[in-house]
Amino acid sequence: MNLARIEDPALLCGQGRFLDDLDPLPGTLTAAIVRSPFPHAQITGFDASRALASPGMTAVIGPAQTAELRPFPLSVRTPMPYLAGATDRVRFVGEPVAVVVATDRYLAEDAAELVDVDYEELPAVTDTRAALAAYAPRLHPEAESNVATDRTFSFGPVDEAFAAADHIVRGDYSFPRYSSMPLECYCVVANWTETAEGPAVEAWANFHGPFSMIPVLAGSLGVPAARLRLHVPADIGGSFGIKAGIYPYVTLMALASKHAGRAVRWTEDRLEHLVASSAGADRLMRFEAAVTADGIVTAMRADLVDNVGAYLRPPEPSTLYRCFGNITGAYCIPAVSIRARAVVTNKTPTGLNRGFGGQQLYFGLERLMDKVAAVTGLDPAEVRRRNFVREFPYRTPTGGIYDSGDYRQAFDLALKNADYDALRAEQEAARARGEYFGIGLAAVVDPSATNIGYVGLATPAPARGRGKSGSTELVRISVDPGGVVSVLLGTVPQGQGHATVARQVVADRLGLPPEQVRPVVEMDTATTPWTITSGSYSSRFAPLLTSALAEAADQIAAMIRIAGAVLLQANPAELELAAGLVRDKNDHGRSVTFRHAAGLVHWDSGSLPAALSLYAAAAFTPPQAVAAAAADDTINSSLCYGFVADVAAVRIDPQTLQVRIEKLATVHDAGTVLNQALLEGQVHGAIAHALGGAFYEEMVYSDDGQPASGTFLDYLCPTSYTVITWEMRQRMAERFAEIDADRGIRVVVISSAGKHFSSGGDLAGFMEVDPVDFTDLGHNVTAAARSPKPVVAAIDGYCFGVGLEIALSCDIRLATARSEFALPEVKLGMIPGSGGTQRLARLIGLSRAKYHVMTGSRISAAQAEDWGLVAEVCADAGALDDAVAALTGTLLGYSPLSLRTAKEVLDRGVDGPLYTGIELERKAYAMLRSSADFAEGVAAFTEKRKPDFQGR
Amino acid sequence: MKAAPFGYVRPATVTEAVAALAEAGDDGKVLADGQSLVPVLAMRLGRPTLLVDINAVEGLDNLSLSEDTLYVGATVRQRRLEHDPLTAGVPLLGMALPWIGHRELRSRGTVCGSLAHADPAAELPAVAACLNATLEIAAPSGRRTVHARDFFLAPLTTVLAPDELLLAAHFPAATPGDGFAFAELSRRHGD
Repeated sequence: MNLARIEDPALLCGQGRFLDDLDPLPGTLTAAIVRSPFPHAQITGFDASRALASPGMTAVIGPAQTAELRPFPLSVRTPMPYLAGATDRVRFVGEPVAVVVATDRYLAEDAAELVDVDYEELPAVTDTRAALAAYAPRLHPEAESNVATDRTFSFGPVDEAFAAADHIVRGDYSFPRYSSMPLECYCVVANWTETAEGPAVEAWANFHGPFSMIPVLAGSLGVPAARLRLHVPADIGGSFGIKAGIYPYVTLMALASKHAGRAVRWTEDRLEHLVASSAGADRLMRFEAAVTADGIVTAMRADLVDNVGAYLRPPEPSTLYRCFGNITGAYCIPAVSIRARAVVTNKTPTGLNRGFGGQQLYFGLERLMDKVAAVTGLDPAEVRRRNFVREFPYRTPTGGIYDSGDYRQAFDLALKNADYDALRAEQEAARARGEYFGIGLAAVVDPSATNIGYVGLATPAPARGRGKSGSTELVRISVDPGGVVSVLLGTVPQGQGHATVARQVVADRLGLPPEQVRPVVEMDTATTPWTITSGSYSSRFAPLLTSALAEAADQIAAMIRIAGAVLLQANPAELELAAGLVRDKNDHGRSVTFRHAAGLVHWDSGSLPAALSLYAAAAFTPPQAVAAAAADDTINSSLCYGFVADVAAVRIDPQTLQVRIEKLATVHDAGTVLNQALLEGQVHGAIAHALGGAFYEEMVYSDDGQPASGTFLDYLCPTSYTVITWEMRQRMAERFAEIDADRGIRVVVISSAGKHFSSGGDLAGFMEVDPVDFTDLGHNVTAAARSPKPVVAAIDGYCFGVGLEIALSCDIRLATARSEFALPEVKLGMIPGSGGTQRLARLIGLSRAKYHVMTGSRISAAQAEDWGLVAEVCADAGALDDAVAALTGTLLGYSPLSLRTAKEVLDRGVDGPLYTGIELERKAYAMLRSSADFAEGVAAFTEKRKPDFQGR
Repeated sequence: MKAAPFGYVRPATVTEAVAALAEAGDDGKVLADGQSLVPVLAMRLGRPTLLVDINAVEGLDNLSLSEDTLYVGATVRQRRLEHDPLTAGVPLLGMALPWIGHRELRSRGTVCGSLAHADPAAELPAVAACLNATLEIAAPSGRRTVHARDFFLAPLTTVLAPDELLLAAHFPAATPGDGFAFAELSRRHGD
């Protein structure tokens, strides 16, 4: 079943309810944040008196109040305390220094300008290497350096392999800092109350996990987790990991609420988001490979340095470790050593950013493999194929367990789709001409469902404390007296379509129509079951939640069968759920509705053999997720591993430096596909995001620590104008350009693959296109008319709209008897836009053209032949092929020059006055008289042989 | 990103508009579509004390083509110009307009607003300078006209004084034998 997304109608009609739309506690005040303008400075003075006197003001909290908070518990024991705001020092531009609470955001911002903060600037450092240098400015005085964590691991015979290697290949790579720009920014509502047991905090935030941050949040507030209640709205406008970094703001607003004595709301604006939310870490890496003469990598060394910004904000340094189990990627490399460092600098603290850790890792690893190819003289694709893991399950040297895959097959498919050999040939030719043409390959093992045990890797085993492992997801299902199944999801989606998939899976499992399953997306930590690993991150929903759903659904199914058995006086084991019924497996006629069985449980529970309640809760933890092994630091860091193969070819104009993506082929081995549309959405989105990461998006800092990507003028995201390709139509003009230039092609036949010639434009794509492309539409569709070569249209089936316009711009039309022609655009409130009205009128006459264009009615093949629209009608597709072959055979025998001239003269002359046309014809005739082809034609006639026309 | 407090008037005539600007001294700003102005206000990069909204001023939305001139009034939207058959009189405009931002911006953005803003990366100032269009300005002292090549002084700077209003742009119509081309190189469409 491939359900259409059920989330969309409400979202597309403006009925989404994002946190900024909600008002959970009437009387909530609004906050604005005073932020550091300096990347590194000591706070020497703070005075909020002017701000407090400002209209609408209620409270200001500053460094003194922030000092009431506890530092967030970090993932590593490093003396780099991180609080939700600055106390004595600021360490990045945008770091919160004060919170101003007022009756609305305008007044709050007015007051924020009146908060006086004195700073004494300190030297700043943003570059990773500079931060590592001996006399670098030190961000955290209690720490020895700017290195927050530095660990080294070694698995397998690394040194021996390097000593024995035929080649040692080394590469230094750097990956930039960028983000995912969710449409909706951070939003928090927080309410601090004093209860009999002590302070309590109730908050709303568009936070999606990992819920390991809940104890971290509670810890910072000094409030036990039991008195911290977090609600997450059902609608979150995108995140891609970025909203995992919101929790410090929840702390900050809770603190503001404490001092304001009222609930406080803060809605982040885009300026704030670009400077002080989160981003993926920029990374420096050195990779080394020990390689045999025939390109086999026998060992690898990886030295990774992540720039985590001013603080090692949890869950960092997870970006370094999330891919630990698959750090050797798709390759069968038996030995690897790793050095992983996180360095603090005066940039915004980092966090999870879509596919997190994967982009950085694979950029380096795949470049390394290209270098192996360069050193061994092998083709880069061949190097990969030789090194791919081939047998599954496969255990990586770092402990990852790849459950299944066929990397070679997927990779070869990508190469085939990209026409790889032709690309390499084109590359050679282009480079010979002095042009830039690049081909990129990537083979990616994509981990899904992280094992939280990897977090422990940042600390050496003896100091690790309590072991951590697992990755659990929870779900509840209940059935009401009317047989409607509610699925209560605590998976905190941000647009991925969890509700759609949940409905689909449960409906499928219970044999129900989708409408009978009602997913409810809700997270309230007081009432929705959650655990440390809960949340939506790291691709965990599909494998984990659906497994939990299946189990819970099976529990419900068992209960329904029991109830059905009572109604049918049968054995539950003989019953199955299908088509909305509970029915006898061997006698489908013997059944009751699912609804009826559910009703029995509610209305007449006494008739059941034992107490039942139509409520099931299930938790799923994959057995593979065990802790990082203490002794050797190996860990299976994810539950399962998909595979992606990408091929990209890019051409760069040497003068303008404009980039053109010539080809992009991507193959995803995604395992069991739950919903094709969702999968395609993910793939297309990932491609757009990759385009952004490769060409447009980067968070840039000046050398003195000022963020330079402060607005969308500087932080460039790909827009729909960049990504939408109007492929088919653009290709027509291009294809004809190629054909026209190719002297070897003399006749062109346009026909279609599939049942019909064309039913017109793709309406969805059509509505999207920019006007500048619209003016090109006619240009594209009528490319055939401009071609100097004779163009034949071979039509079978419906030839409507743009399809007919294409056919009309051809020189000769042949059709099957079943074909029909129409220009039905009038039915859409439109007219034909690519020459259809004009060409049709000239071919069949104004009166007939008006009738058919204005009514949109169809012309039969027979009628078309009668009117001269079609030259010949054939009985069927086979006969059409024969007729086309005969026609083209005839045309191929003639001089291309005379055919071209005939076409030109007819097309240009026929619309004008007769004498102009005759004059045109006369001049063309005169020109042809002096052509070689004419001489050849006459000679062949005289010599009674076949002419050999050269087109000159 | 909320603007600091500002005053707002919506005059009905050019005279009133110019008078309001004059009274505001250096701190008044004309508001037509606000494409450039509103973000500046929101980010508190500029703090005009008075916004003079000219959308209700009579006669400013005039678009007409005479024998040799395309007259574009101050509140004529870019998208209107893009689709009006009169624009065929100045083919270079028709070529440049689809390149301005995105259609959503063009539906509100005004031609004269873009000229007054004088962003060197913008298409309309380039077209105006290329064709040496004439800019018609209303000042407290009366009206004056300036050729485009004298109108633009520096990035984001024109000869317009704080109390002046750009009333219209006159683009010379094409004559037989004229040729036109427009090309734009940018990282993304709309940049």
